[in-house]
Amino acid sequence: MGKGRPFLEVFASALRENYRFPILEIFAFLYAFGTFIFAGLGVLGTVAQTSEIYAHGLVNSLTGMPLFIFVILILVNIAYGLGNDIERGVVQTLLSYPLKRRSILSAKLLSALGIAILLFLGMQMLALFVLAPDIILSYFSTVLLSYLANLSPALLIAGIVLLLALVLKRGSVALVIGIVLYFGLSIIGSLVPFLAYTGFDITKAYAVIAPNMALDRYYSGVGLPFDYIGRWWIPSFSEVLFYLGAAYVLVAVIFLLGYVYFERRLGI
Amino acid sequence: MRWITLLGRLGTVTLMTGLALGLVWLIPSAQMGITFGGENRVLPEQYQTSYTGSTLTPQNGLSISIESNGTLIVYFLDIFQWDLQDWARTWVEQQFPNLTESEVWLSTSNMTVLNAFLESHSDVVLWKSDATTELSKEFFPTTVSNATIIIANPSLNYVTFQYEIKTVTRLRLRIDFFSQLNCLYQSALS
Repeated sequence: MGKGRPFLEVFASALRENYRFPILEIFAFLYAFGTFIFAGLGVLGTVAQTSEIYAHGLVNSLTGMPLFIFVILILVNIAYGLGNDIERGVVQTLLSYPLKRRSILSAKLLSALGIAILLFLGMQMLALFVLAPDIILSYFSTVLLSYLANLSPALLIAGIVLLLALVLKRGSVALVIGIVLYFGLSIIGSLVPFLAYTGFDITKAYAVIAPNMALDRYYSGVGLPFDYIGRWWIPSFSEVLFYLGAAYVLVAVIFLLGYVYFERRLGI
Repeated sequence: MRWITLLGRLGTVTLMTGLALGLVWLIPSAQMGITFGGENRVLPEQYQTSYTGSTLTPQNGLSISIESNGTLIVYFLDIFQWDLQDWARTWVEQQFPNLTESEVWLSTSNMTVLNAFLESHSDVVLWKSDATTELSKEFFPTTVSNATIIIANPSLNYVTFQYEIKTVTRLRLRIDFFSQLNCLYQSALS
């Protein structure tokens, strides 16, 4: 027997646990409803100067509530799916499979994160194609960039929750910290412009955690005369790519730490 | 057995997604923003701009209703009024170099100028009505567009008309979801 079948067994068991009936169905409903209801309707005449900016604005508007639902889903999946498995000793059964520890963690994460991302992006793409097909097809790279920028803070928090669930061996505590982190980041995000005006400018540091801020600033600066921009930091496109790359490096490091801890340090 | 379970779950997920889309489908388009209108008159074989200035998107469009005592043609153009005026003025000055300043100004509103403009800028025509005395149209572009509404009088008589123009907002689901599905189906068939 190869390693594929045990991997699929662990993956299937994680799927059953993470998406018990009717969890998947409820989330599919919320994704679809939230995506269409919050589609960018308020851009007449002012913000949308070009189709590219409109494409970015539409993605931002679509990701609002569904992204929050997505974050809740992945945090619950990781914190409860993995944290509770460790807490209740279920993970020992998983470790008895002829698989390396990292493959077990991969199977759990594929279920917790992969399926959630698939559902989220699937619904979003459907919405974009229905709402503005011509713009989306013409500016697909902008759409992709906007999604990458929007998803990175969610993935960062997911990585932190994974690490916390492994270290604390308590899913519920990791989940609470994850939710507090998510709201904390949102609050800091709304405070960043005000802090910049008081002289305590953390905009660039925040853009490493939430690169969508850099992307937003980039698009808000398109077409504006330089003097008009004033004290706002308007990054160039290459700077946006740098911050996006830095954000994903950070996400990768956090997940790597989780893998290393699960493989070498997790005493069960 | 697992395949049946998997297919069953995919079915229930599709059902729930369909339910959500069905609920969204029931939401009508809403009038959000400005409404203006009134009574106006177009000279024989002339045109006038009735609306210009905003950017339209696939979710933000314009609704126009017109009643007139003679036939009119309505155009939705992806251009701002001043760009059209600049072009018209230059064209008239080139075609009729002997006209005075005020004659040039008056001539820019002639249908011949509009037709010449549309011939050389056919890509700016977002929508054009037939010659009609009554019209009610809700228009949403497929891409981000500048919006100018032109009302042209092709007849040899004065035409008086009542009109109302509104900015409207909607989810394009109502009309386009099924047409998109049909497009996908047609492309899959071909």
